[in-house]
Formats: sequence, C-alpha cells, structure tokens
Amino acid sequence: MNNELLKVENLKVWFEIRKGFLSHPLYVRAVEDVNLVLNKRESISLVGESGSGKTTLGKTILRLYKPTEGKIFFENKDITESDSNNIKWYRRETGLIQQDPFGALPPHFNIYRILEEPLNIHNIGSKSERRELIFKMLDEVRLTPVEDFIYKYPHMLSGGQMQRVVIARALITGPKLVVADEPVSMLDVSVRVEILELLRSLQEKLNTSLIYITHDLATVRMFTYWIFTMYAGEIVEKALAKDLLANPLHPYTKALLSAIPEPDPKNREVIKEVPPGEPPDLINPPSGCRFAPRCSSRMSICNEVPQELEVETNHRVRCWLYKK
Amino acid sequence: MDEILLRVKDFNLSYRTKKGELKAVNNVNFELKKGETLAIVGESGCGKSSLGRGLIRLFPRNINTVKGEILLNGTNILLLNEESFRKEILWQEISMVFQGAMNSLNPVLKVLYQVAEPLMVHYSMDKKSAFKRAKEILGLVGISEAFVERYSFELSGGMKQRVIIAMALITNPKIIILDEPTSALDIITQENIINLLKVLKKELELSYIFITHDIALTSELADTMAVMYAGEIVEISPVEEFYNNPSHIYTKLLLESVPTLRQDKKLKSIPGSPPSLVNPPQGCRFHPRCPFVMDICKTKEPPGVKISEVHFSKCYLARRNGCE
Amino acid sequence: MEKENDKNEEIASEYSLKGILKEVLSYKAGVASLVILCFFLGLIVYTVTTFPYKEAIYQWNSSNAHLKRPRNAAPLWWGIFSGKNLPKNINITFNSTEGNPVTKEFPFNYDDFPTEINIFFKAKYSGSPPIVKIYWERPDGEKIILKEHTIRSEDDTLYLNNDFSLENKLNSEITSKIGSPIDFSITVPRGLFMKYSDKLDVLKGNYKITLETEFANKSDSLEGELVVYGKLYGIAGTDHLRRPIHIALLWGTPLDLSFGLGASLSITVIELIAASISGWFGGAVDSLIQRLTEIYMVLPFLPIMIMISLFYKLNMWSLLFVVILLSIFGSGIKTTRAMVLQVKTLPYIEAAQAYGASNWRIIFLYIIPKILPPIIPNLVASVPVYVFLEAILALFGVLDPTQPTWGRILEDAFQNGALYKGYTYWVLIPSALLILTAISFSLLGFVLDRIVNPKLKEL
Repeated sequence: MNNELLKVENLKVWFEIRKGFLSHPLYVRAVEDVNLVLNKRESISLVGESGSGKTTLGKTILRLYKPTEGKIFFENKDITESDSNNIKWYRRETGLIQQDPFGALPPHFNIYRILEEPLNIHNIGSKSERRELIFKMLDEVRLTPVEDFIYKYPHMLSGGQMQRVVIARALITGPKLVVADEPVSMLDVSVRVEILELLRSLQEKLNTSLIYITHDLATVRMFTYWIFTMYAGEIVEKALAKDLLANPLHPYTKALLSAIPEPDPKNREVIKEVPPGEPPDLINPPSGCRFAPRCSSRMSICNEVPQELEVETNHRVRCWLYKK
Repeated sequence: MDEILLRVKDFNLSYRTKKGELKAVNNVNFELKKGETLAIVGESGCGKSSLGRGLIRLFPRNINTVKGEILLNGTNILLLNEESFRKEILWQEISMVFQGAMNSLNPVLKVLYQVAEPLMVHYSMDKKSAFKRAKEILGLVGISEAFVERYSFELSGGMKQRVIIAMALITNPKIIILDEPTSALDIITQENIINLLKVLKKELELSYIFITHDIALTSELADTMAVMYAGEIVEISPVEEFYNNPSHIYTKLLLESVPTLRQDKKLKSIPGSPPSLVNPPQGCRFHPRCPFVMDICKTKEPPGVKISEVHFSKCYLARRNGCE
Repeated sequence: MEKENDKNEEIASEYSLKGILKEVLSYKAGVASLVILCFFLGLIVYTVTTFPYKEAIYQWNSSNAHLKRPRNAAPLWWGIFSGKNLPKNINITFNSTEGNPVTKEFPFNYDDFPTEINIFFKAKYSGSPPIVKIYWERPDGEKIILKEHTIRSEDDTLYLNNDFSLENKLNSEITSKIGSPIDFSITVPRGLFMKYSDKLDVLKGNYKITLETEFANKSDSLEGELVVYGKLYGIAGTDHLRRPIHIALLWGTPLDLSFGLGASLSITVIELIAASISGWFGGAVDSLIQRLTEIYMVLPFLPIMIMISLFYKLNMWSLLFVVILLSIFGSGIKTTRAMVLQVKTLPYIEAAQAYGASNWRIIFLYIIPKILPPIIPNLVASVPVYVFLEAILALFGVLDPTQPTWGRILEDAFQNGALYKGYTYWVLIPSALLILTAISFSLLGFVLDRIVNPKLKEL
C-alpha cells in the first residue's frame, strides 16, 4: 500500500544468555510474535511496564537489534537481514530519542558538533548548508538564542535543554520514522509537558511518523493516534487512543488504566483492586497467554496462546474472552 | 487521635561545597500527628531528600550547619548525643525507606537474615527469636515463607521493596519516612505497594512522611500536603485544599503541569529551572519564574501566611487570596 | 538529578587545559611536581643549547679529552662534607718564549695533598730534543731539583706519580730530614707538599716551579703545563676515566626522560587502541587480543631483555623499540578494556549507532575521548617506571656504553666499586635525579588522578 511506512510481521526477538561454557544456551524471549503496521505521518504509543519488551521492540524496529524471527519492512523494503554495511540509508531515515538525556549526548562534543555528526556521517549538504540546518533545528526546538547554545557542552545544560538537543539530533536528517523511548521520564515533572508538546508539534510540522514508548499512559493523550499495550513481550491490545481509553478490552489494559493514580483525595480510603504478582520471567514465560497467571478472568483455555482478533473496527485484542 | 508526634521548628541545613555554602533546607516548619500521612512533594533539587534524611540526623560528609529543633514527643532529637539517638530514636521511633534502597540489599545475605540482623545486633536478640520476628514482619508485608530463604537478587522489584519496608518496620517505629518508595517500580507493582502501605498504616497505626515528586500518587496516601521548592516549604495544606484550593503560585503551576488520564485540561509547564541553592534568589526563591511576580517578591522573603489553622502558604499573593 | 549536574560540572574541568593547570596548582603536590618538572625542563634546554650531542658523545667516549682532569674527583661542593679544604685542580702553563729559565709561582693552601702531578710538554725541535731541568721550591725556601728530562717526542708527558726514581729520591731525602720513624708512605705528591714532620701535614704557602731548558737549536721551543690534580672537580665530580660526570647527567636528562616519555606514550596509545578494538568488537577479535595479552603478561620481561642483550648491544633507541614491543599487550589492556565495556553501554553510543556512525568512528570519536582522561594519570605516573627500567638494564650490562645516560653512570660506578671506595657522589647524584624523576611524575600522576576521578575528590 502506498501509505504504509513500516510493516512488522511475526517479529520475535530473543536474546541468548549462556550460563556456562558448555551448557545449553537460554533465551530471554523479549519480543514474541509482534505484528504491526504504521502508516506515514501516524503515531503509535507503545505502552507497557518494564520488561514488557516495548523498548526492545522499538530498538529492533530501528535495527539496533537483529530480529530472531519475522520480518520488518520499511517503505516496502525488507530490512530484516540487512547488516551494518547496507543499513546506513535506513539510519538516515530514522531517528532515536532516548530516555536519559544526561547519557545521550557525548560529553566531549559541543552542541554544534553533536548536531553536525549525523550530517557528517551521511554527507548531507555543504559546510554552510549544514550550519544553516543546525541553526534552524536549534530554533525549532526552541533553544534560542542559538548562538548561546552552539558552543556549550552538554553538562552546561539542564535536563530539559539536553532533551531538546536530543530531539533536534534525531530530527536533523529529516527522518520519516522516529522512535522516542520514554523521552520525558527522567525529566522534572514541570518540564515534561513542554517537551512532549514540542515533540508533537515537530512531528506534525515535519510529517514524521512517531513510535512513542512509555509506561505513563497519562502522557499518551497528548499526541498519539494509536495505542498499543504490551505485556511480557507481546502486544495485547491495539486501538485508537480514544477507544482504548474509553473502552479497554484486555484485562491487562484495564488493570493498567485503573492502577494509574488520579489526583483524588478520596483514594486514601480505597484499596484498589490490582492484579497480584509480577510480570513473568521471560526466560521461562508461561505457555499460552502470558498474563493468565495474574488475570482475574482466567479460564482453562488460557493455556493456549490467544490469537489477535479484531473485536471492533480498529480495535484488536489478544484474549480468549473475545470472539469475533 | 490528634496527638502531635513530631514537630519540626525552623529546621535549617547547609552543606559545604566547592562553590560555597549550599543552603539545602531553609526554615522548615511542620507537624506530624499520630496516624497522619504528610506528603512532601517537590521536583528534583528542592531539598526534600535532604530534609528526609536530616530528620533522622543522616547528614552528608560536607554538612556545614544544622539549626532548629526536631521535637519528638517533646524531646529535641537534634540535641541528643550520638549514642542515645541511635539506641532510642533511630529505627525505634522513626525509620526510613530510602530512595533506591531495593538496589542496596546485600546480595550475599538471605532476605530473612538481613531483616533479622538489626534485632540481633541492636537488641541482642538470639537468632531464633530474631528470625521468628523477621518472618512475622515479612509475612505482614506479603513475602511468603517460600521467599524468605531466598537471596535478594532472586526477588523481583516489588518484592525487594517489600523487604525494605519490612526492614523499616521490624523495630516497631511510630513514624516511617518514605523517600520515593515506588519510583523505580511499574505502575501495577506501585499500586500493590501503595495498597500495602495503606493496610499497614491502619493495622499498625503508623504515621508516614511520604516524599515524592509524583503528585498524583500522593493522593493515594496523603492527609496533608507540603510543597517544597528550593529548600523551603512554600505551602502546607490538607489534601483536599491542595487539589481544590491551592494558594502558592508554584503549587498552582505544578498542578497545571501534571498530565492526568481522565481530566481534560490544558497543560502548561513552568518556564525556567530551579535556582542554585548556593546563591538563591533574593526575597521569594520562586520569584524569577513566577508569572505574578511583584516588586516586593524580589527583595523581601515572604512570611508564612496562615490561611487557616491547617493551611499555610509562603506567598505575598496568599494574603490577597485569603481563605475562600 | 541535582547530583548529576554536579557530576557534569566536574567533568567540565577536564576539558580545558587552563582549568586542569589551575586545579593541579591547587594541590601542594601538584605545585611540587611542576616545580621539579620545570627544573628538568630547564636542564634539558640548557643541555641542548650549550652542549651539542655530537660533542657530548665524543667527550664521553674519548680517552684523550680528559687527561688534564683528576681521576675520581668529588664535586666542588662535596668538600663541605669533609671539613677539610680539599685541593682543586691547579693548572700552570709555561712557554719557553717567556724566558729561559722560567719560574712560575702558585699558592697551595689546601688541607690535603693533590692526587697526581703531571707535566705536559709540547716541543718544537729539529735534530736533538731539548733537555729540561725542573726545579721545585717550597714555601720554606727549600729548593730541590725534581728532574732532568730529555724530551722524548713532540707531545711528551711527565707522569711524576709513576716516576720511581723521583719517589725514591724524595723518600730517602725526607725520611732523613724528619729523623724519627714515620708511619705513612711518601708518594710524589705527598713528598713535594708535605711538612717535614712525623705527622702527615701539608706545607701551606707559595710554591715555585722553575723550568730551565737546553735547546739544541735556537729555533726550538718548549711549552709546558703543570697540572696539580685536585680532589675536587666540577659540579658533579669525575669518574674513573676522568670524565666529568656532569656530561652524562646533563645529557642523561633528555635521553632518559624522552625514553621514559616515549615508552609510556607509545605503549599507552597502542594499548588504548587495542583495548578499544577488543572491547568494542567483542567476539573472536576480543578473544584473540585477550589471549595475546595473557601470554604477554606471563612472559618474563627482564630475562628476555637480558637474553636479547647477549646477542645485541642495544643503543637507547633500539632499546625503546624492544621495550615497547614487549609491553604493548600488557595488563593495561585489561583495565582499559573494562572501561571500554562500560562506556559501550552508555546511551550516546547507542544513539551514534542509531544515526549511522560506523564502528571505527565510534571507537575513535566517541569511546576513546571518553576513556582518555582516566588513562592520563597512569600515563604520567608510568614515565618513571621506564626511566628506571633504562637504569636497571644498564646495571645488567644490557646497554650500549657509548651513550651518556644516568644508567650508564650507575653502571660505571657499580663496576668500579664506587661505594666501597668512598666515591658516594658517583652513585648519589644520578640516583637523586632518578628519584626526583620518580617523585615529580608520580606526584603529578596522583594529582591528575584526583582531578580526573570524581570519586576520589571526596576524600
């Protein structure tokens, strides 16, 4: 299809861990059987807790990890098997925004140099064109006056400012796809809104597709179109943002939504119903539905892996509670 | 009961740093009643952790001045000598759950031993009774017998935090200071821990001082809210008033910057960043970022305004707001 | 996060040279080390500008350049330690054109006797050589005829110490003059300068030496130089070959220090690159380099060096090459690799991969600059290790003896029993320089380590 930017089919990402020199290798099954389609200029929020595989999925899509099984197509090109030699073009078309602003910028480069690196690597523009591009980008992320910032080093900036540089760096090559992995979770509360706002407006302005990875559902309302919830390496529910928030179907999504604290003083007197236990060990995950051990609606059929079903238009779930 | 357990009067802490004297805690006053939860909220660098640790006399190496009074049941614990403080107050009356403590569990000791150790060392309890008591407390926080003999690295994040809470409870303190007890945990696990804290508070008649940056979370536990900014408590109010009738401008802006799932509100972040505590701004420490700054704010430190018996705000505009 | 900002500001001082200099000076150890290093720098500048290398090599290896210098003399300032006023070299020149006979007078007010007395003649004659009579007049007026000598060649030297007939003559004459038995032997220098008493003592005063020459032809001429060899000479004394020790001290400074610096720098750089490759690429490359390192660590360095020296006499520069070759896969690689492995996990490395940086770009532009600061203190502190290595290898006889280095001095001193014979300065002065080197670089290394390693700062 013309509008399709990214297609992921039956993606599995397993990490090998060796316990000893001669023993059998064990695998951490970080991402299991993921299918997704992202169209141009769309954005998806990948929501899940730690260990859900959302970060692994996001980075595998960027080919920072190699898929164990399955396929990834970008603009109809198969990038599953590409190795470092023929993947360089893809790096130009994608961008990564990481969680930790303090670690994401090389401490020994100044801001100008940091932003120049991607342009250098991909030979974009002449020296003066690059300068223009860098200035423009810094202006876009509202680090003004630009002249004040270009010769500063990362440690001279605040967390919010650093993250703006990270965003600028991710967008400077004009990528079609950006993966933002918990971009604000390490920032001060009062700064988060600004950064998310910036991300949203830039995404619209530059026509980039965005995969927004977070554990904080409350921030998702700001800008995404689709919300996918992930649990223990699988995508358990896919829906348009308003539908998911209004009518969550998967028990895990429901639990997630109800667990989010809302500022209501009456909460003190209420003991919330929360699924007991913890996410499963990904070396030996439960067979069948991975959420079943904690699910209050558990049935015997949950020992088999549920398939993804479209329960309503644009609302898909992986749960035996629903039939077509 | 309305019995006042802890009274903090004009508490001041300053540290020696390369750049000069860092005034981390400035003229803090508050009270804690029996069975009450006081939440201290603020962003990073506001001094809330310093305050929390200072309450149990845990000062860093570069401590410069300690002023004021901390009255526990009438006795100023700052004046007690080291030994009586350690024997009678520390962990006996007040204990603490430190930020990130779950990562500091001793990896070579079994959980049961770690929890029982203080009893054997400080109370000279024999091994059998100490282990028995430790098992009791661990059961209370939800660690089953099976896990009691495990090592800390075999436990999940949520379980480790339960162990930390058990260690804080083992000596039957009346007050527990919790410094970001759930910040490293997933949302669902977080809810589990909060539920546990609620139950314990009721069953053991505890009082909490709950330090966090997560404003939405505080509503789950807090009876009273104290907002900290740049080393000072700028507002204290009952939790209902905090959400419905905030007085200090910083409090108002903070509430407006926090994204919530269900409320549809226009979010705004606070421009600028927290000030240096070595050279804090003159007058009101928030004035450089305050949209309603007046001339007097720049020169004279605002006195505390008693909006009601239980609502206190350090803002010149509070006089104007009064109590509505 | 407040702590993060402080940490970041600490990293700030690393990246400006001025900042580092200021920080180093804020420590007393830093000031001390910089002072000593400036001293060495001054020595090097002085040596290189006033004493060309070729000249130094020539002087160090020539047997003729030092004839007029005393053997095994102590430094001029060493005299303080003995309490006595030790004699310095006295050189008196004559020329037959000044007259015949020609008399020269010189004072001798020292408390101790000269070690040698030689007269160097330069004669111009055709046919029969000149015959010269030498008279010696003491301050007490006594005049003796030292010798009647026929010049043997154009360059002729009278080694009076070895002149047995003179020695016997003095012996018998003086013993009879003293009368009572004496318990010391009379050598030529003693005989010429002593008081006629049964206690060995110097006769202080003005001495005169007269040369009366009989020339065969009118056109003949004779030039002479009387050298009364003292016990003190120069700023660092002389060695067994009469060479002023300061030649090797002065030139040893740039040679030894550049050896140390060169070795330290090369080894560190090569190890850095190898460790980065090993740590970054992992897998087979990593295993290979690690096994290579382990083999290296097991090899005994010194015995191999000595073995090599049995086949080749190494000059300093080939020694440098061999030392580097034998050290590059040393244990430094393991620690550096550990740092690389840590840096590898930092987010900005992943970000660089995400925007398409190649492996080599990441290694050289992202990883190495980050791990360089903690390595520098090590680099600095290991310079004295290699300087000492040179000295030790010299003691093992591994080194080329034609190069004037500190190690060379120590080897000569050791071979000639310096400490046994009481020539302590011969060992002390080069050792002091070695120790100063060690102190200054180690102190600088400690100070830099403190600056660069934020955790140590809190101590």
